[in-house]
Amino acid sequence: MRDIYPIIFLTMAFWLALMGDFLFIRLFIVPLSYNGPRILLRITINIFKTAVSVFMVVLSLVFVGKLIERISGKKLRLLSILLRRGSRPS
Amino acid sequence: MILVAEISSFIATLLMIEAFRRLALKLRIVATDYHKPDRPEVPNLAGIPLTAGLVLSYTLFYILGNKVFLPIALSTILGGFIGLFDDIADLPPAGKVAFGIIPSIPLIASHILLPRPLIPFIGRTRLTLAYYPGVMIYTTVMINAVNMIDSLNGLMPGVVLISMVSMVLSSSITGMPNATNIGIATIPPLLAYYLYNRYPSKVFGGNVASMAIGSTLASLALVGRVEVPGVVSILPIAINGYCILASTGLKGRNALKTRPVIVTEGRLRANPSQDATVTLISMLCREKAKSELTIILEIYALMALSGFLAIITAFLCLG
Repeated sequence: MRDIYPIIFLTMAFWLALMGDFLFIRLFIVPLSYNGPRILLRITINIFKTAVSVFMVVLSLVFVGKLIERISGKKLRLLSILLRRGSRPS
Repeated sequence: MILVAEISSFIATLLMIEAFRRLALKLRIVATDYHKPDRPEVPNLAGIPLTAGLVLSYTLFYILGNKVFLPIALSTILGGFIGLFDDIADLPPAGKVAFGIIPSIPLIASHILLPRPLIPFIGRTRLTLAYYPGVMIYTTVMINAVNMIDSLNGLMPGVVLISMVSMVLSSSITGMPNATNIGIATIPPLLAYYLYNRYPSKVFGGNVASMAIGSTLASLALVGRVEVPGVVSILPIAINGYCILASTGLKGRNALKTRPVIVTEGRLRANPSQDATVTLISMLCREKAKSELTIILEIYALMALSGFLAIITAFLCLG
């Protein structure tokens, strides 16, 4: 039964990370808007908003991945590549 | 009439699975249950009668006047076919991810989806162009997450049933009736399959079952407009899929030499090798060996927790 507690923590952390992303987007990304005549500026702002939102989600996945590494005691290949720490030891 | 449709689809699925089980034993369509001490051979590919049962249920509900069931039935059939193709040809993981997009096509083409998802803290959004690629990614994530958890007796139908119940409850909070209707139509055939697949399994579903059910689950979340609570309700199986992909890349777990768990006298224990794939199951038996049933019940408990979080998320979606 002891093994389940870290997974409960992991599930809660994943959910909190997701909700944190949405709250961040609500507070800092949604207010960024431009409805004026400059179409290029409008497109740039929309692309920026999308890019920051995607970055936040990726950041959450890295955070969850680090937690999984701590719980399982094993290195995740994808994180090693993403964080440029070389391939995992054999 | 709805009750009659539900009872009919439940009984029809039970009869189809029983007939298929006998046929599979006769034709030797079997798979070995590696998690049992005596390694019995169990009739495989019962996902075929399950998909037939789901389609029958959706057809009955379509006849009763709910037009959303036609694209959902098509999506389920496509999911089932991809799963059957995977059972026969053993698709590589990259292929599974790519093919997982296909069941979203009937949903997009039929215009039953509204590109205005409810998002926590933000409320109703208007995504227009970004929504449809998102639907494709969403569908393939759901299908592959369900497919990857289908490794212990009764685990897949059990977790999907819990997830569906929480999605239906979430939709009632956000005021979207479609999810309830889809849930009512899906649960009877799935329950019939669960009775045969639960521990100790009398049948295995194969990838046909998991991919058809994954398509249905994605349809429920998208058509029922509970996209974010839907993701939250499957968090444990999403973590499992993420673990597998992050530890193996697109080589897939089957390409690795070391399995995630070691089975000794019917008890499962995480493989201590650094090369072993990380999965939800291996994390649950990291400290000590556990019986298959204990792990199944622990995953059900985790699904109940994420279902509860999905309901809280639905409240947060109201803004």
